[in-house]
Amino acid sequence: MELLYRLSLLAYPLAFRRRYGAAMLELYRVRQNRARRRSGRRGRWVALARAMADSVRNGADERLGRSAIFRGQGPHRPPLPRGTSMFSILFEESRHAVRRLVRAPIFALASILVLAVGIGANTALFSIVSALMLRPMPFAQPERLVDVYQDSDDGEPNSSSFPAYRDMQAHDEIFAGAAAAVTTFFDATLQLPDTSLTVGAEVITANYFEVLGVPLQRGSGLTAEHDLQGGRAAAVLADTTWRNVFAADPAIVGQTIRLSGVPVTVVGVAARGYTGLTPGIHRDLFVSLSAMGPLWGPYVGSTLDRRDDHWFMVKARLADGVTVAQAQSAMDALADRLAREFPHLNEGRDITVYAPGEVRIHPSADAELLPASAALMTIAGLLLLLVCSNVANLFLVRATSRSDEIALRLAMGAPRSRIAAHALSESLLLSFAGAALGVVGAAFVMRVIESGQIPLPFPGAVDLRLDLQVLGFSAALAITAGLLFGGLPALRLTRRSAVSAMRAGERSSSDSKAVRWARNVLVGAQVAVSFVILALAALYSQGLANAAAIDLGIGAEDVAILRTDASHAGYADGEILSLYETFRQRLETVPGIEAVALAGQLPLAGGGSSTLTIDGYRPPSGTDSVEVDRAAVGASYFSALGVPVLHGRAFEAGDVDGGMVVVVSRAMAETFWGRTDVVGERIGFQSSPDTRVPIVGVVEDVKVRDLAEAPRPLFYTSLERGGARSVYFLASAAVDADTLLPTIRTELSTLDAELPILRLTTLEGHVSDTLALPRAGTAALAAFGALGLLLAGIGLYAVVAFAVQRRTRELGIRIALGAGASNVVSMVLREMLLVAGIALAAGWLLARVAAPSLVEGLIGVEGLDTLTVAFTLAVLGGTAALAAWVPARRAARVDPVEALRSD
Amino acid sequence: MTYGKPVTETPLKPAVFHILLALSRGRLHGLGIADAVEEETGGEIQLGPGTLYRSLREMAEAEIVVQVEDGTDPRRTIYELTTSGREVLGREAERLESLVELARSRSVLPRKV
Repeated sequence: MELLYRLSLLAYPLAFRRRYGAAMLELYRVRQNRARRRSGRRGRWVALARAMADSVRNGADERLGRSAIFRGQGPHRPPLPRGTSMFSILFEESRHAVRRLVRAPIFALASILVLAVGIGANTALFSIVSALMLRPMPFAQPERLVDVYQDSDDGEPNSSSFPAYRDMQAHDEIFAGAAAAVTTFFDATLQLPDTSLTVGAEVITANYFEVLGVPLQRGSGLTAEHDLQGGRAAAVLADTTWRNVFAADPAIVGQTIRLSGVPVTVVGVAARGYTGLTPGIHRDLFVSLSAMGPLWGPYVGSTLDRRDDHWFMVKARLADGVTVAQAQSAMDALADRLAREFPHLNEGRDITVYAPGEVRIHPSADAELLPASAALMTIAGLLLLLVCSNVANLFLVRATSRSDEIALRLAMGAPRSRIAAHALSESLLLSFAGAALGVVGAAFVMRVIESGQIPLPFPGAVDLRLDLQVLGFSAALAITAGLLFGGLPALRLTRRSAVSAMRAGERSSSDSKAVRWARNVLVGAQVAVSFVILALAALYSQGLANAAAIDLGIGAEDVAILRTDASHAGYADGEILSLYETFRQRLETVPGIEAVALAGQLPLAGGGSSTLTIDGYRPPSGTDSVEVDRAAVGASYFSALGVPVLHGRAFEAGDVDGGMVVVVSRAMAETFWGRTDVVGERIGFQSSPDTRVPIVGVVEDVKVRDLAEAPRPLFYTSLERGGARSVYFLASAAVDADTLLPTIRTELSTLDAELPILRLTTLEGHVSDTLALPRAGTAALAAFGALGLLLAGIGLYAVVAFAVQRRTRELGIRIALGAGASNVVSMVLREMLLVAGIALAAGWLLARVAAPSLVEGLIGVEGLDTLTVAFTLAVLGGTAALAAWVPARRAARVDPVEALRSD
Repeated sequence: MTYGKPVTETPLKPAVFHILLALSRGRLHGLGIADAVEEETGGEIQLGPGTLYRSLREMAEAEIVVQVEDGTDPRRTIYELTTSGREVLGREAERLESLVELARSRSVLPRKV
């Protein structure tokens, strides 16, 4: 709190502050103590407010050279040197502006709110663009770092194979150092004592940090042995991981952590603020090449030998005196050599060297990113313009209602600039308030995005920050907006013709027909667009509700889901199944759980698929094989989940050791054999065409990939027979599944504390998760709809208010002649109703035309239905009524004497 | 240092009157003055820090108060009424009194019996 008072002391000129600052602070503290004793916290805040107001008042007076002891036009102190007078004047004006705005709270609040949204949206978008495209990467001497890409089959620069990287690195006359990293698609499970975390990993060569010039704040990093396939697995932690997960443990270096069951040594912590090679994407840790095999399997590990995998991004530091052009010609020569040595792999593959700073994320991604960013910023900019035009209208309404005051001032010789300064001070104040609010809102939204509550299509968290660049951008926007919507009306009002018109007593807003027409069109457009957005939001909500209510094909209502992987706890493949069976039986004894089954995947999550050949079936594509979705399930799966067995049987104990058998879904039976009872038929696998596998059962359809799908062919294999490492335990319950989750967690850790909990949720939760993205989209639509409503409301208000002003004299006459309130009101509303009516019709038309294509993914929603239209009309109608209420009331209360006085 | 109109001819701000009144009983430093004013007005008037110190500075320049003791640390500076300060105080009190009389004559305030 004292900080706030100290800040307010900045109002005083430096000299005064230096001399009296301490004394003023002392008095402030004394008052604070007293206030606290007398009236507690509230008293302190009141005292603070008083003190700050005192600072502002006296600070301005001091700067303006006003006397502290004489009233009125007392002797002035010599004014302070030129440099500070501008600031003082603005200060002075702001004080007055605040007073004026406080007297018109609704106007101020509406403006601030709308400005907050306009500026906030721009800020958020700019921060994203800044993170992705503008923020400089923290490399040392970035002007010597180049990106080297090996082309893919289509001739476009892509990532390189590891052996190719080694070839590039060998050119040590060109590159002082070359590092490689895999920046996509690798995540792992970090196992901690009481929980597991999914972490995003970047795979790096040992010289990565050295080449990039990013220091390690702890530890010495990776060494050459970590670049070898058989070497020990090691990792460097990102600063945030070290702080958030390991509580900044000073002894972290040298410790062993468990990643997906693999022991990994921590060899360092990266510098604060470094989050990986991809701008905007946040990596949790950097693992060695040697860790690839253990973490993700031998196939992944052996990529170091394969020239046909292209996973690595190469960043190289130019040797002293070497230019980009020289590096490029060396790489051209290398590309030719590789094409000769490995023609089938490298034919036509160029190697491109990109100059420092040329590539932001990836050459192909950059090409899309730029226009996408530009489009987004343009939309945001248009939004801000719309907001400004709305607020400008509000300003005009307010200004013309004070036209008398303005005319008086002008008549008394006040310079036009002074009047303009008045209007500007208000508008700048409002836009800064709006900007502050908008920035806070933007920060909140970005935090939500960062927390991962909105699923993004790539691993690793997004790293958005409100840095100085972004804040500066907001401030610039605020100033521009303030000047736009405050300055223009102010200038118009002080125009000579307006001035003389006011002097002549015409209480007109001196709007030409063209301006009025333009305004009406703008407002009408806002109303129409609002209609469309609101209607869409309503339709999307409907679709969402429908989706949540869809029948999955599973009879059980409450199902708890646990995912684990015993290989992470060190179990050998042979032991895993019996462990799982033990656990399955154990779970079935838990009160509330009726039956437990194993599965390799969840409904709606999709699984693998296989290419099958089916006797007697010729797929329409002309080939003789067909791709069918596949699922591995345990023996009791169908009974536990309540999936009806239509014919034959489910898997039994005997299927584990005997020959392979499958169970198929109804859709599969009907698609391939034209009937449901296909028990006894056989299917073949393309990979082993001689084996024919018999079908032993047919079950009812379940949802395989998404909620909206038509029944898909699906075949089941026995999980126990095929073996598994990662499995799902599905427990159907007689009670609310959520209540069972803690018990299940306890049971697992009792069985073996090392067993990781990779996922613990309910079927309901799982379904809800799959709807996360559509839900976010619907929420965004609703938010835009609300914003559109606010803007449309403001626009309509302005239309009515202007109409009232324009016809004040006419209204006065009518009222004097005995017109009733309703008569007057209807007169004033005429214009607005016309605008709104046309706009709504246009909006409805637009929505009707656009809806069918926009609602394509939605369930149970075809297009614009009557209920939605009625709802949207009601909402917009209500808004219009609300917007028109205030000015209409004013119209009815016009004092005929006042109105006619302007002669 | 005086400038422009003499102090006695222009009405003073209320804060000045209260400060002079507080000092009429003896010398005080800044905090003491603030306390005295608050006490004497029953908490009605709380001189803001800026108001207080700016006023004191100008009053010293107008020579209606004088800084006793070392004036380098405003927290420790002690102020005292000057003769001219006493005059100003007296004249202001008279002015207020005549206003009150006027109010009584118009029955705004009850007449004193």
